[in-house]
Amino acid sequence: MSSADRRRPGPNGSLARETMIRVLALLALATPMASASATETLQARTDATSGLITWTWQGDGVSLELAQLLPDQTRAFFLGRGFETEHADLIAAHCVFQAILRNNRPHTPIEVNLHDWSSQGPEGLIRPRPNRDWEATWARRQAPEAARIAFRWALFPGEHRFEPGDWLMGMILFDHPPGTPFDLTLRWRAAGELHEARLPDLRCAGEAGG
Amino acid sequence: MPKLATLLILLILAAMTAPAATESLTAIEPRPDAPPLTLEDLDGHEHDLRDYRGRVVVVNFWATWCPPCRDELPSLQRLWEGLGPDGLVVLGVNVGEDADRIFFFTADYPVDFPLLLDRAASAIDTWPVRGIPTTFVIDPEGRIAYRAIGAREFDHPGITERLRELQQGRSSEPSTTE
Repeated sequence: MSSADRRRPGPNGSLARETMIRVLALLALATPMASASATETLQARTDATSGLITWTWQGDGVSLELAQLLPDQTRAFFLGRGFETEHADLIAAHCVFQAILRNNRPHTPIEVNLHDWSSQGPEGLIRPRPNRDWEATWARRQAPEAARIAFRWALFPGEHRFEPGDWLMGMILFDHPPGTPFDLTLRWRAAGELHEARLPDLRCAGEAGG
Repeated sequence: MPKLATLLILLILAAMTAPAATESLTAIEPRPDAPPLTLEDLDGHEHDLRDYRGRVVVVNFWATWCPPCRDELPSLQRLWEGLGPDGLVVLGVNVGEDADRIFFFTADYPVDFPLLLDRAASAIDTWPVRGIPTTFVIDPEGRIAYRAIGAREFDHPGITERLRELQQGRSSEPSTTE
């Protein structure tokens, strides 16, 4: 083939160019989906009846749902598990959320350690209170065994590895008073890398909701 | 060439938009021996996991106050109805509650498979569980073959097929099933 032939767009060159255009067109179609899937979203939904807010964050193959719990709901739940009133009141004086965390990645496990999470509120930086912090309290106050068992398993686990498809629901407690606004930074590890997301403008449920 | 490029892009798109493995079991490799489990059921009959050697056993840790535990109980019942006649065993291990509470609970969530009482949470502490519900599938040799953390639809074909394979001794042992 002469150099002139190489420059001339013959049938084969035409096919190659057409193929390239198709590939670029398909990539152009694919690109918005790729960036959309990589984009984090945070949605807040307010229950019309209770006024309680549920935040749903999604990003990077992980989703977290945080549902406000009223102090009354928290109190009632733990009274029903066998705690005495003073113990249930102590828990209900905290900022309590029902959390659902899911690993939606099809192949990669994620590792979550609540100690790596932090909330930034008016009182400064506060980490979630894990069960091991509470165990000493319950032992000191001689809380009934059944209540302590329920408390432990009702809380979101302090450390956990989520395989693809795994998810858990559990309570997360912060040392904020009810009604406190705060920003939450959540962190997790996937394939050895630390990932981080910031959820701004969250709020603990107040005594009267919202 | 055009077909190959199109196929490649479709594969990339499929990988990016792959659905979550919501009805999956995580295969455990190598399979460790299951921890001991000896507990009484609601009728006071003792169940020892070792007595079920030679059969596939589904061990589900749960509590009545746990919403996802409640959600998956009917599917465990359907699983037991479907594969129980072929030898599958389902054991529901209740964590920390008494027989009366569970008895009243089963009026709303009727199940026929044994519900075992781990009142002091001493059994669950010997198993690799960090949150409930957590479910283990024990192979006929008494080893943990699969695990599921969080609720599942246990009668989903993606799960029942794995259990059938295990019963028939032809587990393909993938990393994750869907």
